[in-house]
Amino acid sequence: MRQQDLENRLKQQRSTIEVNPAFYESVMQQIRIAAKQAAVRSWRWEDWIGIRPAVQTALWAAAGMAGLIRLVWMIHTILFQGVCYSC
Amino acid sequence: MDEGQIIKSVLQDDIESFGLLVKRYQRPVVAMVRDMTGDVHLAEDVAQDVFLTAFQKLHTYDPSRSRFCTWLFTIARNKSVNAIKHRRLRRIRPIRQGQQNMNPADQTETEELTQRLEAAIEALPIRLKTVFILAVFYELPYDEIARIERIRVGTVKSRVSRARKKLAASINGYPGDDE
Repeated sequence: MRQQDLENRLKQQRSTIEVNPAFYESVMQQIRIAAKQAAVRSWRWEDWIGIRPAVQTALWAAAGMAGLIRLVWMIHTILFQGVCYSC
Repeated sequence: MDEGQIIKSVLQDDIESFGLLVKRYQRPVVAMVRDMTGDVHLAEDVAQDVFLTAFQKLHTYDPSRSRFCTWLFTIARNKSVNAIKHRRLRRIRPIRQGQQNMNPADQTETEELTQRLEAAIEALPIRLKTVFILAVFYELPYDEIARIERIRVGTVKSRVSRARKKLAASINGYPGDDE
């Protein structure tokens, strides 16, 4: 028998090998766990309360602006009135 | 459902769709890992790891660069090589199957030669073995093997040829092909 025939025979055997019936379920189980872990890792409170990204940006911008105005106002009162209303 | 659609739905969080890919490729992946590692029991563990990695890295798969099976075989190849390096290997169990249309004497001889060939493949250096298995058993085109192995197509051809010569030389009793 030629080497080529033997190779073909081995190749044919590979196409008929039996995979353990539990293999599929085992793989899917691991994948479900991996998906859950990935979901936990990427969790953000913004997603949880369902705010859209544009609204999130607007809220953060508004909060930042309010903080900045408050800071400028504080510096202004200290410099020009000599009073710190926060103290 | 074609592969592109399946991959799209998995990426859109339809995890169960990945099962279609597992069902489609479990046999060739397990068989390939078994060939690479020579270990029946380890093969399914490694193959599970292959699918898990494929799922986790699916967003990095680029259909314009390679077919999905090439990408999957690349993962399988790397995982198998790692498994071999970690030396968690046990004994090879040849995949045996009789042929009904042979007389018992011929069948015994063929069985023996097949086992010898299988053992010779197992003994090949890893670089030759991988290329030989992918080219001969899974009939992957040379350019895809070159992509998997990150070598040139010419190198793939020469490795297949060298593997064949080594196999012919290591098995006494039957002549090698003059390719």
